[in-house]
Amino acid sequence: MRDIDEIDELLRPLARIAPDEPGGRAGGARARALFADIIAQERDAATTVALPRRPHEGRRGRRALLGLAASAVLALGVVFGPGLAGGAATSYANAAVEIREEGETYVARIKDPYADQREFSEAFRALGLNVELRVIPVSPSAVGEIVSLGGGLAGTPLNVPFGARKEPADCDLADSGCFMVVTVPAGIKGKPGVMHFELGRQAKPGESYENDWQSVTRPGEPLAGVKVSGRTVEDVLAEVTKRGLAAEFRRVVVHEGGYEVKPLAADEVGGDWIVFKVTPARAGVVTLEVTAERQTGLAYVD
Amino acid sequence: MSDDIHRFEAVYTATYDRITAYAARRCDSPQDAADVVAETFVIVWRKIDELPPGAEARLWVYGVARNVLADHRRGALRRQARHRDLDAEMADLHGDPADHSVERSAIAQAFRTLPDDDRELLALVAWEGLDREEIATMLGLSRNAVRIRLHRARRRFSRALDEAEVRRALTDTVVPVGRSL
Repeated sequence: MRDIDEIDELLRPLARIAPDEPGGRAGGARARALFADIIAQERDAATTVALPRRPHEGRRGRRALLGLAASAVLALGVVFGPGLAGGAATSYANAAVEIREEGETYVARIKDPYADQREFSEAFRALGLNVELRVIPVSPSAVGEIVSLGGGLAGTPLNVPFGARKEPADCDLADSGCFMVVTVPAGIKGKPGVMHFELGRQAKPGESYENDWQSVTRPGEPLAGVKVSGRTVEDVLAEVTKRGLAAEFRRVVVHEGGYEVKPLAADEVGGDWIVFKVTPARAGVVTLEVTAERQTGLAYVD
Repeated sequence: MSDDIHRFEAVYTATYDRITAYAARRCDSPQDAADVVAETFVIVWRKIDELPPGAEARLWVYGVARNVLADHRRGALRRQARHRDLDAEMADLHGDPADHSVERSAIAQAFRTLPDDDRELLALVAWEGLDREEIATMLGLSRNAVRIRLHRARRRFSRALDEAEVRRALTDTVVPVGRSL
């Protein structure tokens, strides 16, 4: 489980007003006006004025899907803008990907991210954005999913969103009409760091999985639903071999604020050691992340 | 009466910025946030006799805001007489009012799958910067209850993130992301 500091780091950018920023100014004219209005009210009376609710403004409708097929005539990338008013380019399209500026973000729609990962990076680069799509071999449940994203965000405002999703939600990228949509903060423009998105692909025979931090107890994985965290190596190995899987080991080293995993030979591991997590290594092989003794600093939650 | 006004003025001045931020972070539109702010302070004014002294006052106001927000979400809160100025203030805080792009973030999506109580606890820590004791005071719970609820909320959020299969590297250095305790 993530610690509270990491959760804070993940949540802070979601705040519409950054956690360190104050909201309205109490000394401002608006605050004074509200104050004056409130103290003019009778304290014990039900003074709430019954005005009809104004209907909520509708969510901004989902933008119509871009006909990337229709724009396939754009054999070469086309950078739109600067407009008459001048300024930097704000949108880009090539046959594979289309990027638009939306608010404080750039939003890219990509039809076939497996085939077009190079065009993806090129399109971003044309707008001065250092964004990379990497396609990595993963265990079965992560194929077709964005398994990781990050990097390059240092110095961008905390409340600007970033992320990746499929459109429509949960569609299969192999289907036509399924797009991957990637959002990056506009603030990364001109920054040296690379923001990356990692997309899972099926592994070749014998190829190591790179989503080796995810648990194999997740749905779609070989130990789906099995309780492993906090059990002994002996117990968990029985579950593993029962399913015709082989096991490798890594040592969990706990330190302040997190932990690391280090290589560990099978003959160093005792049957009474404690399993923290089981992760995918490659087809037919899982990795047991273990400690010699139960660690109070680890949350055994799997 | 004038004592009451002074007390109200003191707590209003001390908490206005925090309550506007609290409301803006939790409401999808600036109009809703303005309603929550106005209604919160109306209640604080009406109940000024109940205002606890010292540092607890701020937490008490947060508690009022939380209840107002809950009523608002249930649709129970009638619109205040319009405060156009306040609307403008909240609109400034929200930035582009049409920008619901926060929802696009994968982390935000995972956050949104959590029960309301989990979200509120995690947000009080991450956004308002309250510690467990302060949250306990605000919510009228024991510190231990807050500790347990917070632990469960963190666990559910961790799982939701794992399901979203997204982790964030906070810097460009290679760190074992997703491997914190």
